[in-house]
Amino acid sequence: MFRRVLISPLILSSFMLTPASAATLQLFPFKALGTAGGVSGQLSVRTLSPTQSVSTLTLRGLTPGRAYAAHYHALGKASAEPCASQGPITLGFPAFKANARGQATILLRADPARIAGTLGAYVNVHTASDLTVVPLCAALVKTGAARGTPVAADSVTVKVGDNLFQPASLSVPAGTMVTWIHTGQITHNVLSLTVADLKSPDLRPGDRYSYTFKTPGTYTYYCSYHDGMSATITVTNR
Amino acid sequence: MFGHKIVLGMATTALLGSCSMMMGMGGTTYTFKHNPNAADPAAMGKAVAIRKDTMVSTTLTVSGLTPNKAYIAHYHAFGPASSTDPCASNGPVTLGFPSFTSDASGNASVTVSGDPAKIAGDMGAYINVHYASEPSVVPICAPVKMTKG
Ligand SMILES: [Cu+2]
Ligand SMILES: [Cu+2]
Repeated sequence: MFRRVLISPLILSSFMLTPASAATLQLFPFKALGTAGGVSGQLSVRTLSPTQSVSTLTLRGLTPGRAYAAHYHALGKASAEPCASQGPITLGFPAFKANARGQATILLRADPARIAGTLGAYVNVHTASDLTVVPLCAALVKTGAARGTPVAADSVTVKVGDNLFQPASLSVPAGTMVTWIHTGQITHNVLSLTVADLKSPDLRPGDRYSYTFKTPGTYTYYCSYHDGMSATITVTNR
Repeated sequence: MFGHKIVLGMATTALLGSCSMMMGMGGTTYTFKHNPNAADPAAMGKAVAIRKDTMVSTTLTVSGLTPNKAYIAHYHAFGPASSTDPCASNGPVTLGFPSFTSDASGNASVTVSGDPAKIAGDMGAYINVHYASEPSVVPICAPVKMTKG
């Protein structure tokens, strides 16, 4: 059931930026709102400690050179759908401009308490010149509203080093394709005691292996060659 | 599986079931077998597990290795790839031996002491020896538990 795939350098680079640790990582896709075509992106929230988190926006398809603003918002009362709820701003990302290719990567360090629960219900991206123009929004909290067709599968990467997986703990929505990328020097593998088809061949430097997690649950995987080389992926409902 | 029985000094019929295993007051012995590959063709040896107080101490004594080469060795749990051949089952490491280097004659000995709970039942299905530089090369393996479950 696994497929070997190529991951675009753009997606890879967004993960290389995140610091290495046994932290938890959550990923949320941005949805394009309104008529802006071709805009997309991802929000990653890495919790480093009870008092430290790093949120990273990785955006593409923006207007090249244009100034934007992005904010965390609390859940508002206007809708059960976070992105339509018109909640107050709880935390702002640094102001940024899209590069010449319409891409931007923005980091925000924050106390997780400031964006916990419905305080960080959604992140939206506004044009700086007109804050009512909101091309992108990512919902962090679940909605009571019925969801339409599931969003296209996102992809996430895990680094396979000597001798550890990074991140060691990862949370992704069901349907996410996880790609392990060998960034070390010696051979490793990715195996599971409980999921028969989560099973890589021997991975050597630069090799990749992908598996799509369809069912919510907690999955522990390991390398059969190294002591203590195991990690966990939690698959949540979409 | 060997701990309490050794302390009591009793040999049970269950323990006699495996041809690779012998037990006595000196502990439980597991015999290394060569895996179906061409690495270190003369490699052979044994693992002796002895219960000491609350720990189990396991000593590997191996010969026929490549001289002066770095190796790693582990206890592994029964893995997903086989239910009847622990050495082919690709299980996770449950207890690692300190890494070691063979001497100029290709001999090596290494000991690890660990909590018996880490290698109880399916958790301690086999012991294997890998090249440290290329751990997918596993010249020898000693089965400990022949069937899963
Ligand atoms: Cu490994
Ligand atoms: Cu091993």
